[in-house]
Amino acid sequence: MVINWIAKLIAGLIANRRPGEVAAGIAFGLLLALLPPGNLIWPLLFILTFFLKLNLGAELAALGIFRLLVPAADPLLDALGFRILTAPSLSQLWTSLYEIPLLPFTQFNNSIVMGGLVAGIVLWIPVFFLARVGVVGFRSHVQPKIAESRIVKAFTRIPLVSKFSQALRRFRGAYAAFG
Amino acid sequence: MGYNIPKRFRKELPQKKFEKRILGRVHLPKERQFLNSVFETTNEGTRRIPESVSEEDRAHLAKLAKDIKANRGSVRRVRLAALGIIVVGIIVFNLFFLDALLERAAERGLEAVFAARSEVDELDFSPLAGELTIAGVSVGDRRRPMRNLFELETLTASVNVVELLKGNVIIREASVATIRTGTARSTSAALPRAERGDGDSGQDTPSLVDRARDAAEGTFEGVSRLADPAALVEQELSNLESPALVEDIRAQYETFTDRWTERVEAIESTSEETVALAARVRDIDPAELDTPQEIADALVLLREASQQVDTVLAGSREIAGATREEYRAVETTLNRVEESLQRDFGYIGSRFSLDSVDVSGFVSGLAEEFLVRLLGEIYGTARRGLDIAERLRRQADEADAGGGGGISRAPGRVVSFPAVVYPRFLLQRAALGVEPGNLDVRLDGELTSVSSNPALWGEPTRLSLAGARGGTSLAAESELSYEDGRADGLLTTVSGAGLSFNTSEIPRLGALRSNYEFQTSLQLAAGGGATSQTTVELADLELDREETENLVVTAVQDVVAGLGTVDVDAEFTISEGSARLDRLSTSADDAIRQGVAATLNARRDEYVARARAELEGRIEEELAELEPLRERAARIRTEAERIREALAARDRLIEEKRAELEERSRALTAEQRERVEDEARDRVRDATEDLDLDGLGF
Repeated sequence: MVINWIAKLIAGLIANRRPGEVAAGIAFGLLLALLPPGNLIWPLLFILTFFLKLNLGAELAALGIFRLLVPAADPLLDALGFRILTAPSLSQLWTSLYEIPLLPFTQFNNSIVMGGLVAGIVLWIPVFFLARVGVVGFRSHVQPKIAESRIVKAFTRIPLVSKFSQALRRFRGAYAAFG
Repeated sequence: MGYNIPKRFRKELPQKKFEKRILGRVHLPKERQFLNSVFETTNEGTRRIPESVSEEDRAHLAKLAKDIKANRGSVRRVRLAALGIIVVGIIVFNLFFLDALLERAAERGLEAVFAARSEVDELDFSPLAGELTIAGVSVGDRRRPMRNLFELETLTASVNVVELLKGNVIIREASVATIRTGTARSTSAALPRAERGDGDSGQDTPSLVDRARDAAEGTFEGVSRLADPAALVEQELSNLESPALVEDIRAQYETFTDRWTERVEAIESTSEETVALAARVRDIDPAELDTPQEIADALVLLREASQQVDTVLAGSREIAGATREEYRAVETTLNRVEESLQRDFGYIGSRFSLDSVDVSGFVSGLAEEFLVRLLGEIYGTARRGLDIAERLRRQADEADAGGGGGISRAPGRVVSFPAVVYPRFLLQRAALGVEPGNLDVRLDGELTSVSSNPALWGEPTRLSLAGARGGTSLAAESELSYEDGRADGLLTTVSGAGLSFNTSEIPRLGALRSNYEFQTSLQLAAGGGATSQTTVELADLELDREETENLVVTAVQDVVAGLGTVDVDAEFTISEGSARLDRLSTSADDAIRQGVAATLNARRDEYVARARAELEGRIEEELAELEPLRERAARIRTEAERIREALAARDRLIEEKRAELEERSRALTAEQRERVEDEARDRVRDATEDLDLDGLGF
């Protein structure tokens, strides 16, 4: 499972796929990490990513990494969310939203949820473009050098790596077929 | 296998389209280079693949065509279509199986709230109209798994659909046709511990009935030692004074009689010789003593006898005196027996103190048993009510807390808006019809303001029920108050009239039957403590006596059977796991106390008298056993006196003889002197007769 996720991530990096797929995966991973679970927004966003052409491996990897870091940012998210929720100019909007059926399930009136959501959306675009630039740079400069290096060639002969490589190939085939 | 040129690449494309549709969807530089090399540029500036392209390049192009297709668009249409099918399936499924799902959800919800197996036979929910009808609900009693806490025939409720979509179950109006409590179940209502969701063992706390039984047993145990006065005297022998005194007297008698016997025998042996000597003295007749020698011999005998009698008499006087003194001492000790016996009687009386019979415990025990039988359901129901309120709140809290996840996040702050906010669950008003399992009375009333967030709703939960049938009436008012959104206390007042009870056999007493009225108020604190004030009026109390020889029990039976109306006032404090009776008074208290006390006093007097007689008899018997010793001692003492008197008589005799002999001696001396003078005179006269003494001038 984990190998497949890593394979997906590597496949996304080296295959003939849009760099934006990996970048979007990373950006969504950050957004999901910033949002606390237990509200309706989180599963909806997560399900949404299943229907978008983005790299799921990159998303899960980013989610795992950012979730370790995000609790440190909770005070900032709390302050941000609280400021947004208590902004007088927005109070009418929030009140109206709160009256709408199903929306209370999103717990948008929680400062961490609101702060995480807003921070995640705001950070999504720069993270996406930065990640995209990184993927393009990786493909142009790093990947060829790695592929040609002796160490990698020797490394790929190791049985476990060989197995990993097979998984990667299988995935790439399946990925292509799924479309 | 030969490859055709993919359809996507067969068309001749303008440069711009080629860059947008082909190169724009290829993201690896070497692949782009490959395409640029494969696509030739025509004279018109368009791009196309020549027919002469190699087989290897065709295969490569086929792969690239797939990549380009995959890179087209941002949405995974196949997955989206699959999701659409799934959503439609779920909607259809819900339309057909919504009621079944809700039925199961309702069962799970009831099980979570009541911590016991619950069943819902039928549930019908119209989402658009918000009409909910539930039929055949049975909720098990976690404390009595083979009983239902309640069974509900039909519940109809209007659910606020808009709030339901916000996650709040808001029922403004509900009607519960009939609730039956305490009905039997065919299967156990016990849930596995994990499902129960708490550490509760589900068992009742130690029963007050058991405590009452213990109290009654203890009471009757207290009088069992009255049964055998002889055993008590025997048991208390070491603490009694008179038996020890009698034993002391016995020892004195035995010691003294032995010593006195030795003394008297010693006197008797020496007095025989003295008596013989005294007999010889008595035989002396001074008149017959004619010569000084005879008198001198008699005086020698007299002196010898006198010396011997004096010696023996002194010894006998000493012995008689000592014997007399010792005898007197023993007699004095003997006289003290009576005094010590009186003290022993007092001590024995003190051993029959009424303190050993806990009459108050007996009364409390009976009353506790009665009250527990009467009010146990009220306590249990009120406690369950409080538990249910707490579970409801806890469930809402857990729902608000959400799933959490592996890494803890700050809870954040919930900002409220000026909107109508409802608790997650609210039952504003429900009309109830209740048929208590143990009573033939139907109670009607209402339940209001049941809320998972009482602070938000702001009103205490109230339950009021009342009903009457024939001469029997029952009413209950209960109010659950809140502090900071938590159940703070439950005040329940239950009153009833025209009720009757029939107890099971109370140990050693019998079974009680009575009609009664009662009123009890129970204040339950959220922390577990509870206090209760109860007033019960029993009328026409009847007792089926248990046959017994126990006088105390009989006394209690007599008093209880004779009671007409009994008022019982009690205050209990119930803390976690146990109930403590703070105060209990009944109008029967005094009657029972007095009855039992009178019986016990009479019994005590009787036993004290028997114990006294027992002790007195025992002492008399022992004194009777001492009588021979006493008589012997008296005889010895008399003998010693007799010897002393005999010796004194001898002494007197010797003195008399001495006087007689002295008289005789004086008489004899005078007689001798006269005779000598006469003889001398005669001789002088004879001599002078021959002489002419006149002529001599004499």
